[in-house]
Amino acid sequence: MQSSSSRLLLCSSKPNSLFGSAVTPTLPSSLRFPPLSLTIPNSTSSSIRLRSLRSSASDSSQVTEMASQDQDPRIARISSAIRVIPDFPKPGIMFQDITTLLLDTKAFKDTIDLFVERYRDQNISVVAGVEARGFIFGPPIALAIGAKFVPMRKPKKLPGEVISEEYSLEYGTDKIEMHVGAVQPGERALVIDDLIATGGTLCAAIKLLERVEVTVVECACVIELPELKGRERLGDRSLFVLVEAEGA
Amino acid sequence: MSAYTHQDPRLHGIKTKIRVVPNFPKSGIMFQDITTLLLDPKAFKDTIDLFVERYKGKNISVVAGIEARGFIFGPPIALAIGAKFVPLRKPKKLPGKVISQEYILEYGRDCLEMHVGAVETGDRAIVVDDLIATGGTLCAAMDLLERVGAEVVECACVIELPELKGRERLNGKPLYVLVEYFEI
Repeated sequence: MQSSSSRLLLCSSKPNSLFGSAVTPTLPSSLRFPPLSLTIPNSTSSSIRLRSLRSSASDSSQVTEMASQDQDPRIARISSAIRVIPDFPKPGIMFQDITTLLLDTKAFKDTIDLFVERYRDQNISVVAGVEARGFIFGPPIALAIGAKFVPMRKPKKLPGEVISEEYSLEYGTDKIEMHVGAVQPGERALVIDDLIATGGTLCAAIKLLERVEVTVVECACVIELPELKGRERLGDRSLFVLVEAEGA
Repeated sequence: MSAYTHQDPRLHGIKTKIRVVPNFPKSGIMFQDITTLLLDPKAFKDTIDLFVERYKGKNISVVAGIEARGFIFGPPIALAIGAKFVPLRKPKKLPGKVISQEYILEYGRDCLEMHVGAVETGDRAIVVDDLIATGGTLCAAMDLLERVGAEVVECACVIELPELKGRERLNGKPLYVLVEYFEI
């Protein structure tokens, strides 16, 4: 069983400087969640990742050691509320199950609050949530910041006129759809999902929005699996996560 | 009970934001599309507020939401009233141990699943979905909750299609909706 640790990292969103960095600069607490500028130049945008590595144990309780670095005190409880299920949906995959987080009323509320605090003054008019677990986190954020909620769905679920974006899976392709007219050119949007793995779904969601001239300000997920390099697949797009986890 | 009959002033705004899409998913069906409601922050907030006002302070410990549109309305309600949110899902989506409940469709069957351990004996629950049609899915949801010893206090939906008699299928369980849609 691997030991795990949690660290606070302040990184730019450029992939090379993120990956494999071992040193954590200390930060004054006011900078732990740096404000997003209203127009975010891609080359200087930054994101804070609050790191909590999971052990490879089964659904027994997780062991996370807190680093000496400052970390928002709510993160530890959020991290330990997430359950890891080995070999789901197939052997070798350590599935990050957020349903146990939803059973912890304080931790679920804290999760939403952390996103709301980051985005409430950023003039976000659209929160797009990816089916189905993005539907759980997106609407509470949208409601709290006064934005529309736009569901991004698997094919044939949305009635009426849609636009589609195809994306690759490990084997084959899938498609994600959005309603025509849900968003307007010039709107500022967040894309929400429970987890980013390879980044394929999030990329497709971003493309759908950008095709209709919406500015994707940031992607926000509860969990990142850094080994799967989803952050790199997002290129210059900004990504904000609360917790990092081992993929396998 | 329908809130609409008591004419809370917020209801008109909610009802007018729901889009009806004819012949979806198949000919003859007038599909009640709530996504347009979600595009209006005030109307969406009012929708949630109406449920929260009804259930806050009633010792509800579980909000169970039916995949996938119940996932949109359930969590904001759960967060506001301090209850757990429990997703009820199609087969094979929930990892780990689940219990299943089969139910009949117009043609064939389907199945709804819930995590073992999510809900405990003595939990007081509401079941949330965007719409009640025949009531088949809601019945399966209630069965799952009652099988583990929870008390289903009420089912809550944004929309009811009264002509499909879902309310009767709930076997006496209370149903609360915001708006009714009649085809005639």
